[in-house]
Amino acid sequence: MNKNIIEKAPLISLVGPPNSGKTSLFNHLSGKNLKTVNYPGSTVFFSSSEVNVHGELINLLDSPGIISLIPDSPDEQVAIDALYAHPMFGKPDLLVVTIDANQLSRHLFLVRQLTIAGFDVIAAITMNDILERNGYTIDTHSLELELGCTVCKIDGRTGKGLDILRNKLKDKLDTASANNDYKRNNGSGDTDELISIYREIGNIEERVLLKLSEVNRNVRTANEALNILNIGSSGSETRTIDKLTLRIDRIILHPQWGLLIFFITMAVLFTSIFWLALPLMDLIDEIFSELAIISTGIFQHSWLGDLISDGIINGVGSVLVFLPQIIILFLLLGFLEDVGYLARGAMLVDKPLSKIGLNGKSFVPMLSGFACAIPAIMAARTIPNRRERLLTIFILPLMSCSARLPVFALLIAFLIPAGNAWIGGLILASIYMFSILSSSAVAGIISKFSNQFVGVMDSSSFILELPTYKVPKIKIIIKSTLQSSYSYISKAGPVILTFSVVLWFLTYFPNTDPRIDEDGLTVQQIQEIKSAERVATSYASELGKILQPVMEPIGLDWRVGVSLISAFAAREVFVSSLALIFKVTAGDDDAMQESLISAMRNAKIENTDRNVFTTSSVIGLIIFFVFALQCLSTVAVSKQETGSWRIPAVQLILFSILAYSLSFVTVNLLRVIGIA
Amino acid sequence: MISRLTYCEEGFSVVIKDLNAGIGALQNLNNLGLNIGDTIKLLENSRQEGPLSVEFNSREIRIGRELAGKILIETESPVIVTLDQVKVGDIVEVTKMNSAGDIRYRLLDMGLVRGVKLKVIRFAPLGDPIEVKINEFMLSLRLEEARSIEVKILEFGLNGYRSKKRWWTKG
Ligand SMILES: Nc1nc2c(ncn2[C@@H]2O[C@H](COP(=O)(O)OP(=O)(O)OP(=O)(O)O)[C@@H](O)[C@H]2O)c(=O)[nH]1
Ligand SMILES: [Mg+2]
Repeated sequence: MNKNIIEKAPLISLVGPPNSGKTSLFNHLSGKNLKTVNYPGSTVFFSSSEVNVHGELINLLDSPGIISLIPDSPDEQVAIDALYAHPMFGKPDLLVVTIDANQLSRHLFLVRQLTIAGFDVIAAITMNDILERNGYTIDTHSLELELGCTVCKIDGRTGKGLDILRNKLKDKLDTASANNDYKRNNGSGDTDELISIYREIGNIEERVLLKLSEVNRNVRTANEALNILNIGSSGSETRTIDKLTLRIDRIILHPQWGLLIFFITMAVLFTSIFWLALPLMDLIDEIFSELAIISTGIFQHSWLGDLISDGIINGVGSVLVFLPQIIILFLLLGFLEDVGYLARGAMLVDKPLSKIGLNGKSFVPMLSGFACAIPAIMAARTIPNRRERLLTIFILPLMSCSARLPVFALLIAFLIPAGNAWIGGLILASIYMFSILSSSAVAGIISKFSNQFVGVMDSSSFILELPTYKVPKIKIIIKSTLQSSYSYISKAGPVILTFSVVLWFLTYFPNTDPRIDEDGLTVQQIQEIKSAERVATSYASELGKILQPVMEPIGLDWRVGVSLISAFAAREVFVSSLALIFKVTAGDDDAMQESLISAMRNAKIENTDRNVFTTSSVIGLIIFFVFALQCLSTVAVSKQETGSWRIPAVQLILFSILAYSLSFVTVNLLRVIGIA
Repeated sequence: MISRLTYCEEGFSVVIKDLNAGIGALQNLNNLGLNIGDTIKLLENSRQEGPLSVEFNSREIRIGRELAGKILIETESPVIVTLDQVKVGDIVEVTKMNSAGDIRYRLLDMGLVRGVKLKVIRFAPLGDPIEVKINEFMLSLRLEEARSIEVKILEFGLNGYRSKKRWWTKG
């Protein structure tokens, strides 16, 4: 092709079946570090990168996995549409199709469909190491002849074979015809044609797969071996399914042990979030209180000093302190994903989930929902059935996301005696259990009573390939954890900071220097009384008093109401607003969380001597946070993924009503049975 | 070939060849008044759930599905069942795909076409879905989807049937 006429860099798309190593290859070619995990369907959107191939600049595009040119789920639909015309990059000039060497007969099907459709294709065979470990190898030369397209072997993890691939890319690009007329198969594919392609592909496999010990191309022996192996009868049954995978699955999917292991895994996952993080949290807590003391030392109690220590340092610190928990959650989830356990988990829970109108494939989105609802809602694209997908998206905001962790951690710390991490972990685990149960209930009720809610009724299915177990790539898991944590901070950070400052302003002005009777009081006491007075006469108090009637039934007062409203920006802001409104003593020796808690213990509902925070009202608050959809970004993503405002609107209204009324019921029930 | 009682067609007379199970199951069988070597006629076999009913010495006997699955019989005709009825270890060949619509394509994409051979690996701990080995990978699908796939049994997974020393049976 005459490149100098066309200014645009050529576009190379990486396509291939799910979990075949596209993203790994993309990372190696581009030097980027996208997340690769051992769960089919982990990439649900496109990433692109400019890559230099032997001096020529190209655009490389990673895409979600597709099994054939007939789409099955929305992410496949998107990927297939993009093959023909990507909304941003247009038509690809060349496709690199990643093919798992261990699943030739199935994956070659896609290559064949693509070549029939008229695409320029290079087949990159991945996972050769696993095939070879099992004593087989692929004859690339024969395969090229059979397929009529370029074939090369690569290793997406080590980068082996990439130079050859680059050479072939370059050759191809230089010689590629300008033919961009692709035949489009619009879904009503002819079954007989499909079957005949399958037949043919099966035969190709027999011809190109060689036993390593006889690479003398003795096709007959290879064929014989294959015939036995395909049937999978006794003896040397496992060619490619790792013997190890089979053995592990015997335990992991054991009728009884399997369930036990599943529950233990989940329990360990959630309790460790709590106690592994504890020492780190203490450290961060201390650092920020030190900072606050230092700044008070420098600026004294001027308004600037108060802004810096109360508005900024405390606000940011009270949220950053929960970063360790979030990091640990992401790390553990990444680990489970990469090893290959999550697909098993999906299989384990398909039956119960199908009972409440969900799908085994809802499991991974739901689990990621514990980290953050936003990526979770996007991950729901891998659920083929529209009804189940919408229902999954609907309940995802009920999964206890990491933004609630700071809130729960604070409230739990209020409830239990200091330093008892085990009980804290247990309470946290039960909050998680509760959020799972209540979301199941919501899903069950909705799927039972409201068939027209999601409109469509397409047939439900659960057809999932179970990947082989792999040694997790710790380095990549850590990198992607750091990335997610960083993006968490960079998204939540500015919001929290802004709200902290705005709230500080509202609680500090207009009465910045209230007059009080200073006789016989220590400096410390003067400061305390002054700031209490300041808050009580501030703008925030004016605004907040409107909230008083709403807050009273759930045992709280307007100050908590202001914090709850500010939590709509991001749930974590709740903690920093509480810190700002209640923690009237800045710069004492206590660590921040402790002094916030002791301030909470002392806080009285205004003009009374009833405590604001009691066991019952705090439990009520926890219930409130379990249900409330206090996250604008979630609402936005929900709209984007469901295609209309209907579902996010229902979510917002329903979950707010649930949150408030259940919290009301809880508080008052607790009081009736004598818990203050 | 050896087959299971549960795979049998109604109306056929068969000889109980053996039990693919332990001594407890044999006792259960004896409690029903049956023994290895008896000839029984299959009266009713719903193929999905519930007990089977057989005729023995002109008496009707109901056999639980669990036990019936362990009763091995001899048969000449090929055994065709739907994929949800198979047992762990069975090796089967797909003979017909009855599913429709999207699911049909999905299954086709996964390589489930007429003539392909499957090995039944396991049922998930809660009984559903089923996991089969197809070509070179593991596929898990719901019993509901499996029900739409007709298969011919090529070999029975007798879970150690041949190798196990069974001192309590004669011979
Ligand atoms: N042993 C081995 N593992 C590989 C190879 N290439 C990739 N993997 C692993 O296979 C898994 C899946 O790789 P990905 O790159 O995420 O696959 P993908 O095609 O992008 O998957 P989706 O985005 O889910 O469609 C990861 O755990 C990789 O580390 C290889 O050549 N050998
Ligand atoms: Mg990917």
